[in-house]
Amino acid sequence: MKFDLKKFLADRSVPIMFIIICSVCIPLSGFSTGYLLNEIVTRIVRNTFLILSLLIPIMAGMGLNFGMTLGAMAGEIALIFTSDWQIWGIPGVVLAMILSIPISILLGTLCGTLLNKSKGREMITSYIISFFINGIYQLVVLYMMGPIIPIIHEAIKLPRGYGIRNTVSLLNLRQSIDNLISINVFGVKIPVLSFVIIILLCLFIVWFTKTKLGQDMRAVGQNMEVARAAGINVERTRVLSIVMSTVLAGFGMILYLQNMGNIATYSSHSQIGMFCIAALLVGGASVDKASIGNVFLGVILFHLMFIVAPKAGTVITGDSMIGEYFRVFISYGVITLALVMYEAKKHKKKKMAEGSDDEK
Amino acid sequence: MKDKKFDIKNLINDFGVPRLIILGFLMLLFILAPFVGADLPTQFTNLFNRFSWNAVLVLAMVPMIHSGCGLNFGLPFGIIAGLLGGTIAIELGFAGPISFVMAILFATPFAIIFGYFYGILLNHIKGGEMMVATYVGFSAVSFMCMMWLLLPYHSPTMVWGYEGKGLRTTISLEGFYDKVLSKFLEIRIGNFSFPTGAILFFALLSFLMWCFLRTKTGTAMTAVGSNPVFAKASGVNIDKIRTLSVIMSTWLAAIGILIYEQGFGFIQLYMAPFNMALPAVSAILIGGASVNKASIANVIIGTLLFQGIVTMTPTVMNSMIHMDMSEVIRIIVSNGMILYALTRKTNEGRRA
Amino acid sequence: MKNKSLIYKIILVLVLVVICFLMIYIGRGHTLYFDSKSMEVDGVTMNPPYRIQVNVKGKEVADLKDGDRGMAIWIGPKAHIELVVTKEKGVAKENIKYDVPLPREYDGVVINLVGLLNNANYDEYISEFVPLATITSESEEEVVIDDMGELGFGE
Repeated sequence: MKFDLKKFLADRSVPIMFIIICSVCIPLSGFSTGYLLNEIVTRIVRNTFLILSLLIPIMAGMGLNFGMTLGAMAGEIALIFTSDWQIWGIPGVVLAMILSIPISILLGTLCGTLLNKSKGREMITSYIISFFINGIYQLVVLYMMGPIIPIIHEAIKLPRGYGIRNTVSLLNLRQSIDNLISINVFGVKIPVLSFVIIILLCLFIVWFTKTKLGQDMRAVGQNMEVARAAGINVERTRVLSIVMSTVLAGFGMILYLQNMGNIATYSSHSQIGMFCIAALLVGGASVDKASIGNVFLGVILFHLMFIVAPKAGTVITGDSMIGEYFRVFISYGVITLALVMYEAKKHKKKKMAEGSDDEK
Repeated sequence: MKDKKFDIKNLINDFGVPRLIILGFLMLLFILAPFVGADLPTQFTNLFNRFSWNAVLVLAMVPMIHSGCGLNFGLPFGIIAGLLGGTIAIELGFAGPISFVMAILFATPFAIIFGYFYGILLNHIKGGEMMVATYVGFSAVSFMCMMWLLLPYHSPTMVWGYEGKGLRTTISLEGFYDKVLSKFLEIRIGNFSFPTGAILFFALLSFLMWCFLRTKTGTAMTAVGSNPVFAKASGVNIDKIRTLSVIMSTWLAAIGILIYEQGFGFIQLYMAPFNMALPAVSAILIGGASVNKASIANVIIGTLLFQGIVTMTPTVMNSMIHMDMSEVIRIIVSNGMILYALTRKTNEGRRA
Repeated sequence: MKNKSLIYKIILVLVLVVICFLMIYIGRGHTLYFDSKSMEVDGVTMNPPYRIQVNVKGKEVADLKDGDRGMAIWIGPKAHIELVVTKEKGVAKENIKYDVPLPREYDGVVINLVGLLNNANYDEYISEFVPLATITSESEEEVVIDDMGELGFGE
């Protein structure tokens, strides 16, 4: 087969664009290499697990799972409990993960069932689901925690006596996993255990794609009708893929928050879906195809841009807000671009199929 | 038809359980309001005022739903055209009621150009309009965030005082078109006031829309939405009609935001347009519209119900249980309604 | 076949529940407060030594003279602490290790080291730490709960 340079570049236009943006912005920002490396490592540790949770629904043909926010909320609720019961350190993280599982499964099943009812527009539906469940989450955390769901410590409650404060401190949980085994390479702190966990998840995903269920998901993703004809329970497979994604997102959120050291109770989750999706797309993934490589490339490029853009923006325009808005614009822009490309391709395919039917 | 038994279950299904719940909830609020000491005239004043601010934004949903482009989550795109119109009118020194007219005039070309390109984009992605629309809106808003800082605005009422450049996040409309419509022919009886001008303006736009939908182009638009195959067979240029509907939607959004501003009294820039699509979308759905069917009545009923809940819940809830749960209720109601509409089966053939 | 997978599922859930309780047991965190002050038990007064250094996990967390209080964090049901005691000025140091079981229900545990050194009863040298003033409630926090939140990326 001939190597098609044009196609090769076109398929990778988004990562290439980001490499260009970063290579312009890095010298302008004036950050030292050591600082940037440290920041990048921190962000890889913080975000990769979350982004990996997006892969399974993509495989099952359900697009970008904007509903991963549901998992994030489950993780946050679990962490609020561990924090209230004062379970600290690694046991606290493990406990939070286990506690998040039932909540994630419940929310994931709900999300998956609703998505089955809205085939063909899963993404917008999952996007609205995340808002809807956010309302329920606020109802639970802001009004029910205290009077209905017992919360022991006054310190994490709002002064009015019910509801959880804006921030819940995870001081004694903070980076407990990152710091357990960490080595220092040329002044860059590498949290070995966190990387091991991320690699284990990667291996799990690779293994999972080879299992019967994984193959089923792939088949459903390629063509639902064919899969159904082959005797696959399409609806169940789709729900399972969302449930798995939600559970993994819950774990990811717990790892993310143990790295951050506190929960912003009402805002931590609201943007997480958006920027995980943006990072994945920056890595060269599309709505129907994503690999582990995309995740790592994406997390590095996207967060590099995130670190340097505000500073570079300040240098160029003299206004610090420009850089802030620029990176927000780029995040949304990348998602828009990916969605447009995907939908246009789908539309073209459908048109061609229709065209051949009409014998035009 | 006649032999079909009067089936209450069918009737409820047609109307939709969530809609019934919302209606019941609102009625409960109105019944409870006098008991908890809420002042009904003030409540109604609030309701009508908020109705007059938001109705046109909701009306902007209609053309795109008719042409089968789905719910216009890209409303912020049109809002930006309106914001540009408003700020340019002020920048050029127009004041008083004339500034409102000028704002509409300046907003129109932007809305048409934006709508045209937006429409062409949506024609390339038939079937995936809603998701793309959402993110086109977001991208446009975040792009404009940079532009508000960079564009050469100089009017001292609008730019940051100490820097002399970059627009403020909120710009007061006092002396410009603050309440120009609401105060026009306003009716005042004690605590109760009725923003006649704004409502008349909405009525005018609705009437025009109603007329338009009965013209040849209008019926073609409905045909494109409800039965594209048939529309194509009868020689309608689907893409052209769809683009027209998007332009109309965008223009109405631009006008809608100007009317919102005149009622609210402020222009809100930067991130403000972000949150404006979802309330409008859920309002029209609450009014009985679906992803591919909407009427003027849906707009009026929906806006009244939605704004009723928005205005009534804080007062009633606060005085009843001393808990302001209105925000949470609003989030659950509005998004729950959109979710309900999205998960309902649309008329077969529509997505074919 | 179906029975088997059900059994596996039940076992998995049970294992997770067991791990849960295990974590709750070994992960319970306490704030330890070390007091070095004289205490009286059955009419016998025990006086603090000249100086006590407290080591937790090989790190010195407190250096206490008469009446001082030190603080440390401990995760787990039993605190392993090492005391380096100097009985009187100039006298050689003495290392003593202790395993102090911590009561689950206390968040903050006050340990009177004098009692611990003199083998007093558990109840006599352990007490719950009660914060002096209940945390001065800051002004009501504003709860931001709009759909989109602000666009800061949670940094």
